[in-house]
Amino acid sequence: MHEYTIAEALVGQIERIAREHPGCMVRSAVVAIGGLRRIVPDILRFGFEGAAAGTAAAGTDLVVEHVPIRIHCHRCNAESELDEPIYLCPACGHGDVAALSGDELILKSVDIDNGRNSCSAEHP
Amino acid sequence: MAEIPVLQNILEANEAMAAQVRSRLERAGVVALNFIGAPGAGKTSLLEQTLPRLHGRLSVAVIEADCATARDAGRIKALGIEVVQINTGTGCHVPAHLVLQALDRLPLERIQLLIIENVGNLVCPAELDIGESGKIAVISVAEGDDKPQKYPMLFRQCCAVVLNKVDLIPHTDFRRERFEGDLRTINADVPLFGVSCRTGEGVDAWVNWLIGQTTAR
Ligand SMILES: Nc1nc2c(ncn2[C@@H]2O[C@H](COP(=O)(O)OP(=O)(O)O)[C@@H](O)[C@H]2O)c(=O)[nH]1
Ligand SMILES: [Mg+2]
Ligand SMILES: [Zn+2]
Repeated sequence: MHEYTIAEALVGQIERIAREHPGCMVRSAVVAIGGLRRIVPDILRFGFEGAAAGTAAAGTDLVVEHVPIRIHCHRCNAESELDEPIYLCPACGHGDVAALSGDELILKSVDIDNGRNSCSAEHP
Repeated sequence: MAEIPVLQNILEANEAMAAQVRSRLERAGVVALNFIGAPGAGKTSLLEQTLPRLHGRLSVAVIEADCATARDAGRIKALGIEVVQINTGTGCHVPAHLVLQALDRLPLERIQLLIIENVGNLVCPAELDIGESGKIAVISVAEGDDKPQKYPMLFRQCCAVVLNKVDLIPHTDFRRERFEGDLRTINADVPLFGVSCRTGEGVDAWVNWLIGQTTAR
């Protein structure tokens, strides 16, 4: 259900960008989401479509990039990527690890256009 | 077509509000703990056990977030504790801006600890910063011993875990070693308190930790 919370926030952000670029359409948006967030991309896209309906974000194609969980082990110095959020060093088994990535929730970029290819990408 | 780099936290509007909450609390010297757990885990019961034990040791106020009713706030008020109710309607979590508004109704200069009982939900509240000093995961035996791996965001971020309803362990297939093993795969050294709000078992150890949190800052 937290996909909907995130979808709503995303719509708000895209609407704001649309306001900053009058006359332009937001075609697509790229988001990067860490593995710890346990987001199901299809549910996020579905929630986004629903939340975007009737707003300036309607019709935006949402591209969801997965950011793997990475940890650094303080015991053996190994750096590892985790498929599951099991914060134990795969190399030595210890739990004395620092998370390097995995909690990302980032709107990376959007593609805008006004149908004439002359849309200004400058921020006002 | 033009690509615009954004690189913003998706929840940034909420984060900005959370930062305001945090700075107001810090200025007033208040430690704020965000209690997160499923409906029925015993968040309000834990407050009912905890607050009387803090009497004369810490001055506390509570924010009660609930979808509709003011019942939990009534339970806290009955203990003589200052409480502000936030109704979130259909919202499954408290957003930071509602906490910011609630702060206006609290005597921040007179309190040391603010406890926020979040809406019963293990997922969304863990995603949203509300300006708290720390999140407390409240989970009960009745929910089963496999929850940490299912809700890693909460168990990874929280600064303590309260396992409530340990009085029920003999009546269930809950295995404490399995729960703790599962928790340790997510968070190797978060403090874990097994308590029963029915019998009072384990509550004193939890309360002592809580007092340590406010004096350590
Ligand atoms: N057996 C048992 N029941 C408890 C315990 N703590 C709370 N309960 C019961 O669990 C139910 C939900 O408690 P409540 O505090 O309202 O949960 P909340 O929704 O998380 O605030 C109530 O019926 C409580 O009496 C406990 O330690 N043991
Ligand atoms: Mg409650
Ligand atoms: Zn290692």
